[in-house]
Amino acid sequence: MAVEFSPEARKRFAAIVGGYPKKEAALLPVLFLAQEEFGYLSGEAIDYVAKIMGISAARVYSVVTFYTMLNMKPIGRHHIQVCRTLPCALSGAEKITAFIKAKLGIDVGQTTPDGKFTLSEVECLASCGTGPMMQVNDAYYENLTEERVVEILRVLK
Amino acid sequence: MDAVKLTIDGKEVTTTKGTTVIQAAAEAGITIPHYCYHPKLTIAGNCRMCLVEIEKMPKLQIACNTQASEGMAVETQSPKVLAARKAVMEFLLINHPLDCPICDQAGECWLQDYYMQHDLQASRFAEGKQHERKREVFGPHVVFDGERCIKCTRCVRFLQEVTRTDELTVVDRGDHSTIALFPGTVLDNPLSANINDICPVGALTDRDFRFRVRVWYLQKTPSICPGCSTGCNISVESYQNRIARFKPRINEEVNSHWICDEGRYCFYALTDVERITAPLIRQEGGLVPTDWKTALGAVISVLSGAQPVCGVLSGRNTNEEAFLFAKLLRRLSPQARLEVYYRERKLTEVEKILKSPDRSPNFRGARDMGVSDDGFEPLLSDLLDGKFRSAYFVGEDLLREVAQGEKVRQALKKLSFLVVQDTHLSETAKLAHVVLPAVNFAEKEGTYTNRKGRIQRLRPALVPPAGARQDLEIFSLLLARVGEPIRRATPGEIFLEIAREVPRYRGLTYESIGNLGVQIES
Repeated sequence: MAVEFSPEARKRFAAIVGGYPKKEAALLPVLFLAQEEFGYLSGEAIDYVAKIMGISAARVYSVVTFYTMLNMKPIGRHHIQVCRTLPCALSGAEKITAFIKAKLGIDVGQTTPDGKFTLSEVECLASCGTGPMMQVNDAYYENLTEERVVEILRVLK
Repeated sequence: MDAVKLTIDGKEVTTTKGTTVIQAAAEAGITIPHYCYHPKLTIAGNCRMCLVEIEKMPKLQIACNTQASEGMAVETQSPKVLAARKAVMEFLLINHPLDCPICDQAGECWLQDYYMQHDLQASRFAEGKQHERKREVFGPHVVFDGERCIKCTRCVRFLQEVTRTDELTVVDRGDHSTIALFPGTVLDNPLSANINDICPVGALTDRDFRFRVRVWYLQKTPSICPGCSTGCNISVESYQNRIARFKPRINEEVNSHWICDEGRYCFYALTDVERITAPLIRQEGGLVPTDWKTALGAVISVLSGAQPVCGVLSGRNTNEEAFLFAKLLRRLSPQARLEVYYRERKLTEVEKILKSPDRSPNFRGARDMGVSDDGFEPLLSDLLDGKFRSAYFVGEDLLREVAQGEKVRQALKKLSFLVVQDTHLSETAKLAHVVLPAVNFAEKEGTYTNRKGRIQRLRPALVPPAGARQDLEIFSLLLARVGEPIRRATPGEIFLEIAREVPRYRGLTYESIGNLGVQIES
């Protein structure tokens, strides 16, 4: 099946592109839209975005690999993204990541066999005053301790 | 154009407004160290190697992206600059492998050169080096070593801005960032190997040249690419009397900094042949070696008796050779039909950036010398129609070059006399009555006139095998036998004769042509 936007997504695409003076500037929001549509950004999805944006697939690929919130592989229902940048690292992010790894039995970049959780380490999420912190899908969880992580993982379905 | 006056290292420099500091310095003969800056690409400003101190500016500035302005005082060698350069070098070398002895870039690596000039200290990096992809094949001519890459993005910008094919990009971020192709694609465009030339380090190397010769052993001869009539300026780089590679030589009037892949590797077909080292003459049972006196005598006596005669010169013959060839055949037979081999093909948009639609680098010069009556195609069809009794072919294997090869074979077999002058026993030469062993483009001196009318010098890079003779010498020996001796048959002397006799070449000398050529009016 060819990768293609639904009519609804097509409308949103037109609206996004219309909001920028240059088409290429709309690339990030278009990629978010594509990720929402297709679940993740496969090679075919990148090719498709390149085609509708009128730029090379290599350039889209470059952007996709730069941003940790854009995924090139299918991810679990809950995408756990632990911040690894300096303030979080100083306040114990590495310990939190190690704890989650042990708890879920997966490594960074992997997904649990039930498809529930994917674990990633990401760059600064702009919540430096409340580290260590993580983002699960679109929600922030701050001032993490091992107890809080246990609680959060229990609540996530 | 507004002029701007500034000082660089105390030297007063005048340049035009809009010029960057690195360009203004280059114009004044001062080279500011750099990696990512390339005069033919957009400014990236990522390597930080060109930092300079500018009076009244609190911090060091990158010379590649700072415009020269009136009264500016630039220091490129101050203690602050030297310290910064040393720090940049140390930073660039943090993850760089220490494998110079087995790296093919060694000897022409900007990391090595600048390390010697600006760093010269042991690494203080105690942590493990970042590992990257090694020996990844990007395409037919390019192989990538991720660990040696400094992410200057010259290759990415070349493919975006010059070929506009956009194959490579920077992926990932931080110390994971690297150069990559979009998965499933290859880097295969007609100019792809240029990125090996502009890569300042050992990250991109030429799959053909790689590990063939250490570069410090190469002998470099400035010459002209024999691939087509664009006449790209090249450096023929040889080792032990064999060509190891072609490299582009900068000439803004012709090829800028680039050459095409087809031209870059065209020397194999022209030089990797089994050479003939004695004249051959047809006797019962086939071609047998003979001496020059017998061979040349046969050429003159039979050719002058078997008319009408046609002469086909290779597009790789020089102006000087064409001049004597025309003189010789007109002397043998005023009605002789002469042409230089010339055929066109279709080019893609990317090919058109550099390539001409032919494979005859000097077709225009040969025509200027009188080797042309009504074009190559009419001559070929007359040949196929059996309108000639004899023929003299130089340096071109017509049986292989022409699509109607089999028809040509039949036509040549019907000739009462065929002379072939070439480096090897080509399919065409096998049909000849006399074969004269000659030399290739890399063994001779002379001039080519490119498609646009630029006269440029071809220089000998290799020594021809014993027994073969210069085309020029063969023509002059034959001319002597028809009563037109050439007093000094050296290329330079013949060119002076051309400069006297051929109107558009009037007054030119080898000295005036120089390394970059001379444009004659069209």
